[in-house]
Amino acid sequence: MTLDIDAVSCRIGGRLLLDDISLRVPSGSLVAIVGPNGAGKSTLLRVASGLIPADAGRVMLDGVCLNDMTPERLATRRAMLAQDSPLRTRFPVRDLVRTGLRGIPAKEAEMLIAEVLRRVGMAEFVQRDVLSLSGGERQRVHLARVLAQLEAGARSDTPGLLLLDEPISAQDLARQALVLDIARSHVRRGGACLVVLHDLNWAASRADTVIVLAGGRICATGPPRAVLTPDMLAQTFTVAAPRVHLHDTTGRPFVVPHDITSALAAETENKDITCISP
Amino acid sequence: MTFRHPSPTLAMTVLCGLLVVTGIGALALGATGFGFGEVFGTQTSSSLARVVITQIRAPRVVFAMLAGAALASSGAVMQGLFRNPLADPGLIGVSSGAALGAALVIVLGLGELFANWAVPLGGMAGGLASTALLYGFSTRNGVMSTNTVILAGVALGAFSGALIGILIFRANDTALRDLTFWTMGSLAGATWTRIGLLMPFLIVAALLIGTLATPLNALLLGETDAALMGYRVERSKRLAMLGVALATGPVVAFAGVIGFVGVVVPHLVRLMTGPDHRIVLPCSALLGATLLVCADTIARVIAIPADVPVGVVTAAIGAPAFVWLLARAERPDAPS
Repeated sequence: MTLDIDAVSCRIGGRLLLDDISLRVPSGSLVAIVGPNGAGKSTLLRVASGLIPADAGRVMLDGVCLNDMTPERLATRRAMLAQDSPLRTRFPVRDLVRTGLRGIPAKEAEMLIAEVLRRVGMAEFVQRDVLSLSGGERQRVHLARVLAQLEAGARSDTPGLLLLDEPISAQDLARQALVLDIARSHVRRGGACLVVLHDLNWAASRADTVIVLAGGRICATGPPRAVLTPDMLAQTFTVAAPRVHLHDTTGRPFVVPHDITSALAAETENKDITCISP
Repeated sequence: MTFRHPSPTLAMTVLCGLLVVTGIGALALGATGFGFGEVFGTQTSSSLARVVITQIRAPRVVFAMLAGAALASSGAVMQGLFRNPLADPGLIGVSSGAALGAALVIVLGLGELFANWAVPLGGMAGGLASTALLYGFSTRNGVMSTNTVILAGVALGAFSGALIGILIFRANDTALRDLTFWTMGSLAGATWTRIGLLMPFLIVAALLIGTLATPLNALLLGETDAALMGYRVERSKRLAMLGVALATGPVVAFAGVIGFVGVVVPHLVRLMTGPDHRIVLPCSALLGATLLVCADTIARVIAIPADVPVGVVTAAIGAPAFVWLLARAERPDAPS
């Protein structure tokens, strides 16, 4: 499964949210989108999912334009975890995950539901009311639903495209690793994954490619080490003196958002720490 | 908090049994006081008893079943579609539009036209026209905004209420009495002919609503997630509005405004069975039918020889029962 976004622009309510975006997420690849708030990251994911149409350009899955696919077919080839869910009805976890499964025999569906819940660490919550769960647990139940949808689609096809919008925003440290490992395991099996992340270090440690988005345009794209540089971070995120270290074993970058040494020195001298404008 | 619900088969079997028992009881009770034996043929039936049972009570009981099923399943659709526990079929303007249509016919003195069919026809036309108006108003570029439907539905209801107020101001005593009775809801006008006219609408509505169970389950997660899971959200919303208008419009046109069934019954069912619309929709229809038959039987026998409007009974019994159930369901130790 390969996602191609070709010269896509998107305007909503008169505002240009995406401006001439082109990118490729090949099979077996995890691509992270990072960028400041309001950069257009979620809009890009929604356009990639076919949820909102692009005003210009094309979005293709394995060379087929999303507009040429029926909603049912599209649902078997890509699934997306949105940032939040407006669910207000009491809903058993099992039934919520089942909504992602269509046209699957009941017995097989039960096995699939148990399997995806086990993967996200929610196996023992199968009978629980979703509204009684914590935010992080609820987010993982929705992730299980999304995984079930893709698994069902992959029964007669190759693994599909997984789109994740801030999937670790409500997770503790261990579950952040769990969620991103699930994404990595999906791409290892031949799927593709496009994920929006705010945590640059998780992006650096798990992504094959990092795309930096700001003001609806791609500012940088490439392997984490090439993209996550102090200059780029200072300019895009307007943070003071970011430091980038390299991990001893993996050689992947590790970002400290500001220079701790100078911050401590500034504190000692009773000076304010100010942000550097790009 | 875990879920402990009876199996869908058990719930539906119990509700079917309850409906049959209630129906038999309703046939046996009435102002003329025929006993069970006469009603069900173990004794020689008099011709009067036969006429009362087959031409008065039976159509009324069947009409109550159909109306209760239509209103309750429509309420379940509306609550699922709008993800709002207060939603009822009236939300899409059917009731207010039908009330306005019927009021126009009554006050303009056209009630006896077309062999007394003018009021139901006026009500039906008003209900369907008002739903179409609301749909047109809430849809932009093929996308219907459920928030706009709710708000515009309230505005449309208020506007219809104002127009009905003007009509009441202009009405003579007879028209005023007819209008008041109609707005309180009554099944006294039920006949086999009317049931025959109602059936095509209800069959089409049932077929439409039957296709909506799975999409409504997905819509509980929100329109975005439903669309991402491959459901045709806009088509489901259109079908839901059409199904509800077809189910509710003719019922309101013939029987007037019967409140509370559409709101309360889906709640009761969800407390029993959980939120799955594949179970909630048929169970709502069964329980709605049962409760309206009960309410109508009470309406028939509580003030013999008078016939109390059934809408008064549904509200008088439904409101306190509903509050009690909600209070009970909100208790931390209550089963879901």
